[in-house]
Amino acid sequence: MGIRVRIPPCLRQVTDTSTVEIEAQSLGEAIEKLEDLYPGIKRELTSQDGRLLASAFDFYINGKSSYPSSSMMSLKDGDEIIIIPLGIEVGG
Amino acid sequence: MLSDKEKQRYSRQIRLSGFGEEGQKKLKNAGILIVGIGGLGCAVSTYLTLAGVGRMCLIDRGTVELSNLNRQSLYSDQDIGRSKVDSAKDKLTAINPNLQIQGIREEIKEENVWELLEGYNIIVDALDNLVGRYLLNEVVLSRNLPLFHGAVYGYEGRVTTILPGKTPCLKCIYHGYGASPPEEIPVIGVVPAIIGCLQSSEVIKYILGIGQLLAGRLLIYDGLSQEFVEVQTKFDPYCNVCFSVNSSAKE
Repeated sequence: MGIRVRIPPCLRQVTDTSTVEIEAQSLGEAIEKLEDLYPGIKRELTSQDGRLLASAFDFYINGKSSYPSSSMMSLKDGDEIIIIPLGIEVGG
Repeated sequence: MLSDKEKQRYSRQIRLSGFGEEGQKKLKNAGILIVGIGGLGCAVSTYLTLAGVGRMCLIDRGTVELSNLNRQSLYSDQDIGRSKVDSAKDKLTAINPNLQIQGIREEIKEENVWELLEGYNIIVDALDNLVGRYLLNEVVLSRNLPLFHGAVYGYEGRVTTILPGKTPCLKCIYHGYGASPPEEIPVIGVVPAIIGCLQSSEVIKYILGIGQLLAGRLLIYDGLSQEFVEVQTKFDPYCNVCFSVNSSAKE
């Protein structure tokens, strides 16, 4: 079954698709798997030291915010991650 | 009271279940403050005007620019250089002469936000930056007023309804991040149109007391995949704005 990841439109230039299915047991592993499939996406989601960019994105797991998210956050088969951009996405 | 002309004008919505003449009177008696009259504000104000809202106030310090015209549907080339609130007032009055409308050409700031939000109990957040949005958030929480939030970027938009004491606030959702000055963002006009219409729909339902509001729910529109996704908003235990309001409501 795996993990379903919803990619926001602002990252679509990297993935060219709105949803991705991967196998992962933690949020950090999910990002590594995304990077394998779509090189460059990790740079968008994490800082140079590998921490999740909490100021730029919120990671909702099964419709609930995981803030303050950490790479260690565990996932199980069938989970859905929705990546939601924060600070920049507030135009009117 | 509704005049015969008003009954005729709104007849198609008066027929709706849960609406009726009573609902139309509620709209007529409502006063709404719309902060920001850009892409979102144009859509929100247009559909609330069409629906028959009685009183509206628009706040925006901007003037119409050529680069606004891909999305700000109340303006045209002839308005370039004119204040947005004046142009919007003229267009909205032409759409529905029953509307009592006021325009305030100001930027929302810490020094004026409390005064500018006086006299209205329904606030629409159609701003283009989080600095101003956080100020609105603070005032509505303090005064226990609903805040109808919409935001756009590129092909994406989002909307939620904040009810102080019942739902997480704007700062809970954005975690206090992104409070930088406004900048020019990429956006296609249909996105603020869709989000602004959803905000209008929320306001109308709130006034009429019908349906389910997007309270505690963030609805996200993905214009590329043409999908809507909904997530639950969550109280941020570190939120310094709504902590006292929400903790007293939970007791």
